Amino acid sequence: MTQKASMRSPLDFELEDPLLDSPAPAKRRKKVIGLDDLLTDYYKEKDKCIEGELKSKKARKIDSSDEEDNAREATLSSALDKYHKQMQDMGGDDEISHWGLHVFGTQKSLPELVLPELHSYGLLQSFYENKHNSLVGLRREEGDTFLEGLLINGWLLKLITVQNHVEEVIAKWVFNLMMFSSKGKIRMSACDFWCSILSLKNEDNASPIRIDWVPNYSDIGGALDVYGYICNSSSNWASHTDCDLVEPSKNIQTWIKFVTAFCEVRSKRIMLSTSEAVELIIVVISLFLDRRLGGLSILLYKCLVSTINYLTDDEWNTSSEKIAKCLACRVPRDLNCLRVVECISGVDGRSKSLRSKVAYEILAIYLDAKVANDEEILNILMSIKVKERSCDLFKVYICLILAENWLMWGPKLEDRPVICEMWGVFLRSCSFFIASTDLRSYASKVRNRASYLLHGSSTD
Amino acid sequence: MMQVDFRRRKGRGVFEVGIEENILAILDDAQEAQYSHDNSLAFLEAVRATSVAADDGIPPTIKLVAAVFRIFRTGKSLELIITSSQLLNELEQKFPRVFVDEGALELSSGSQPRLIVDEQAWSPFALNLDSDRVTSNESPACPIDTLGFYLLIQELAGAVNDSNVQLQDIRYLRSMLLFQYLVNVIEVEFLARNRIYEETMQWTILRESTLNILLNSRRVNYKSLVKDCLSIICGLHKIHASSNDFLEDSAAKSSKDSQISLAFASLEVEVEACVAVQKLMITITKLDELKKQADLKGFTTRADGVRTPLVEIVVNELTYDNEILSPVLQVLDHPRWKLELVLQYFAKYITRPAVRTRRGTEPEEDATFYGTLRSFTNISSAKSVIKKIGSEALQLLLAHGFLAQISLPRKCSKSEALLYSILEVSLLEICREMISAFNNLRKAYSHLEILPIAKEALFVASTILSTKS
Repeated sequence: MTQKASMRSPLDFELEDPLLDSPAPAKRRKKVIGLDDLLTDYYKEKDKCIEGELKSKKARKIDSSDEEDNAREATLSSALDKYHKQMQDMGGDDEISHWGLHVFGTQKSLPELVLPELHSYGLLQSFYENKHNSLVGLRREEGDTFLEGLLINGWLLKLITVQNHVEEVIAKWVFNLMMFSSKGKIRMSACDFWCSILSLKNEDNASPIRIDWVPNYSDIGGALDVYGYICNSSSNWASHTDCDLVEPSKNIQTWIKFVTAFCEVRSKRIMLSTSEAVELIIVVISLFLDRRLGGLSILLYKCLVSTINYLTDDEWNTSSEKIAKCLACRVPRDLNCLRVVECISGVDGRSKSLRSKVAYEILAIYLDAKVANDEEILNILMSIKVKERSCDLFKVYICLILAENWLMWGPKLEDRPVICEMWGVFLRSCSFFIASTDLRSYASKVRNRASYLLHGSSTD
Repeated sequence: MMQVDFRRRKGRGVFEVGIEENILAILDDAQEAQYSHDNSLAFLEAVRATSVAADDGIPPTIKLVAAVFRIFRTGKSLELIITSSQLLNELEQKFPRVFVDEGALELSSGSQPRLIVDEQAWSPFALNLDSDRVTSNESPACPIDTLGFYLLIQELAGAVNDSNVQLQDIRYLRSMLLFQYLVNVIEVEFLARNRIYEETMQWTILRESTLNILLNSRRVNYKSLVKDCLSIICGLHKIHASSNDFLEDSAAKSSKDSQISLAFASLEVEVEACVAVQKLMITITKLDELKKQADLKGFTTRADGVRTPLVEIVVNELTYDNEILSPVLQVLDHPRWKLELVLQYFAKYITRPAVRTRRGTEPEEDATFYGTLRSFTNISSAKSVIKKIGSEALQLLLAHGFLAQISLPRKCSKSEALLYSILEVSLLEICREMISAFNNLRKAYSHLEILPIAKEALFVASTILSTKS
C-alpha cells in the first residue's frame, strides 16, 4: 500500500484524534488552493508521523484472518461514515442563519381609484357630442370602463402621441391605477403608459411632451406606505417577525418599474431633490432585504442602478458618503449587512464606489472603531486571534466579507502598499491559523474565503 | 450601460488559469453534482466580479461559464436560478460569442467592420452534434441542441395551456428563463450577422447563424414550432386575463416567504416570456425576408432548402382558428409586424388585381392598410368580406390594423415609407377611411354589433380627426 492510498482508507482516519488535523481533506484543499511552501512543509511533517503510526498498526493486523478483518473493517467504516456525517452536521450550522427582513407589514386601505374629475375629461366629453358617436353609441355612464379599455389596449398612449400633451386628470388616474389597481392587466398597462410618456418626445421639435402632473417624492413614497412599508427613515431596520405575514402588494412590481423609468429621465425633467433621491436609493436597497421580493431581484438591480444614476456628479460626490453612513446605521448587524453590500451591483463607477463605501461604513460601526481610518480598521482586524476558541468566527466572517468589499471595489489596492500589506496579514491569519478540521461554525467559511482572496491577490 | 468588450481571449496565460482555478475552488467543497447553495452563490458572485463588473474584466473561461450554466439548470433555489440566469445574460451582453468588430480603431486602411466568431467561447447551443446524438438534454449541464430547443418550446406551450400545471413551479420558471436566455443569444448573434450581411451580401454569414441552423434542422418540425409559439402567447394571455384579482388568492395567507417570492418571480417571468416569444418570431420573420431576397439574387443554393415564411404559417393558423385571433393580435405589440399579419390575412380574402409578390420593389396602393380600408367603400364588396371573414374577425383585424398603422414610427426609411404608405397618406386620411369603412359595414349589415376594441378604434380615429383638423 502506498502512502497515498493508505491515507484514503478509513482505518487511518480512525487512528487519529478526530480533533486533530486529518490529512485527507488537507490534501484535497492543497490541490485547489495552492497553499504556500510553509504549509506544504507542515503537512509533510504530519504525513511522516502518520506513516510511522501506520507501520505499527499494520504489524498488528497481520495476525487476524482476512475474513474477520474484512468484517471489522466494514463495521468500522460504517461507524466512521456515521461520525463523519455527524461532524459535517456539526460544522454545517453555518447554513442556518440567513439574511432577510420583512420590510412590508399590514397594508393600508387603498385610495379611490376613479377620480371624480374623470367624468369631465375633455376628450370623452367632446366625443359624446361627436357625430361619429352614432356609430359607437358610447353612453356617459360607461365612460370609466371605456377609458380603461383605451388604456389597456394602448390607444391612450397613441392619443397622447398625437396631442403631445398629458392632462392632469389622466396622469393622476393612470398613476393611481399603476400603484393601486389589483388587476394585473390594468396595473401593467398603466405602468407601460407612464414609463412611455416619461420619455416620449414631441415629434416636431424633439422636446419632451407636456405632462400637466408628475408625481413627486411623497406620491411615490406614499404608495409604499399604502403597501405597508415599515422601514421608514427614522427607524432602524429590525426584523419585524411579529407583524402579520400578509403578502406584500403585487403592485410593488409596477412600483419598481416605474421608479426605474422615473429616475432614467433626469436629463429631461427634474423631479426629486437631492435628499429625496438619497432617501429613494436607501428605500430601494431596503427592498433587497425582503426575501419575499427575491423573485423581483432583476428588476430591483436595474432600479438601483437607475436611482444611483439619477443624481448629478456633484450631488453624487457629496451624497454617496451620506448614503453609506445612513445605511450603516440602519442595517442590523447580522448577515443582512452583507446582503446590503452585495446587492449593489458594481456595474458602473458609481455603484462600485458606493459598494466600497457602504462596506467600509458598516465595518467601522461593526468594529466599533472610534477613529475610523483605514489603518486603524485593518489594525483591529489584524489583532483578531482566530485561533482562540473564544473568537467569534461568525463576526470574523462578516468583517472579512465587508473588508473584502471595501478594498476590492474601492480605489486600486496596488496604489496603497501599506493597506495591501496589512490586508495580506489579516488574510494569512484567517487562512493559516484556522485548521481545516476546525469544527467551530463559520471556521471553514472564513478559511476558504481568506484562501480564495489570498490566492486572488497573489496572482495579480 | 455595459459596453461590449472587444478585447478577446488572446492567448490564455497562466494568469487566467490561476483565476479560473481559484474561482472553481469555491465550488470544490461539494464533490457531488449538487453544489451547496452558499458556495454556488459565492461562485456566481466571484465570476461576476472578475468579468462583468470589473473595469478590465476578462471573459470567463469555458469551464467557468459551463459551471454557471450548470448551476442555472440544476439549482434548487429561486435565488440561484435567478442569479445565474442574470449572470448568463450579462455575460452574453458584455462578451458575446459572435460580434461585429468595428476595426476602425486599429488601422486606417481596411477598417471595414467584420464579423468575429469566437469559436473558443462557450455557447448554450450545441448544434453540430445534430447527427449522431438522440438527445442531449438529459444532462442538465450540456448545451442545448436543436431538439432540445424545440422540446423546450413544446414544454412551455404545454405548461401554459394546462390548467393542471402549477405555474408557480420552480421547474417551469427555470424553463421560462432558459427560453428567454436562448432567444436573447439567438437575437444578439443574428443582429451582428445581419449587419455584416448587409454590407457584404455573403449569404453564408446568415446561413451559419444559429437561428438558421435551428430552423433548417430536419429534426425540428418547424411548423409545429411556430404553432407552439402561438400557443404560448395565447396561454399567457389567458393567464393574465383570468388572474385578475390576486387579492383573492392571497386570502390564503399561510404562504411562506419562498412561495411569495416565487409568485412575484412568475409575474415578471411571464411578461418577459411573452416578449421573448415575440422577439423570436420577429427575428425569424426578418430571416425569412432576407432569405427571400437572397433567393431572388441567387445567393442561396439547394442546400438551403425551402421553408414557408413564418408570417404565412401564422396567418394560416389565425384563419383556421378564430379563437386565437384576438389574443394573438392583442399580445403582439410590434407595429410593423402586426400590420404585416393583418395585411396578409386580408390578402387571403380580398382579391386584388395586384399580387403581393412584387412588394417592396413597386408598391401597389392596394397592398397597404389604406388600400384595404378603401376596399370597403363599395357596399357589396363589404358584404362579401363580412361573409368570408366573419364580422367579429373583420372588426378585430381592422381595429388592430389601425392601431398598428398609427403606431408606426413617423420617421422611417424610404422603402418602409413606400411600403406602408406613410408619406402618401396622412394620418387624417387613415382616420377618415377607418370611420367610413365602419359606416359602410353598418350599411351592409345593419345589425352589426360593434366590438369594444372597434369602438375604441373609432373613438381614437374621430378624436384625432377633431383635434388635428
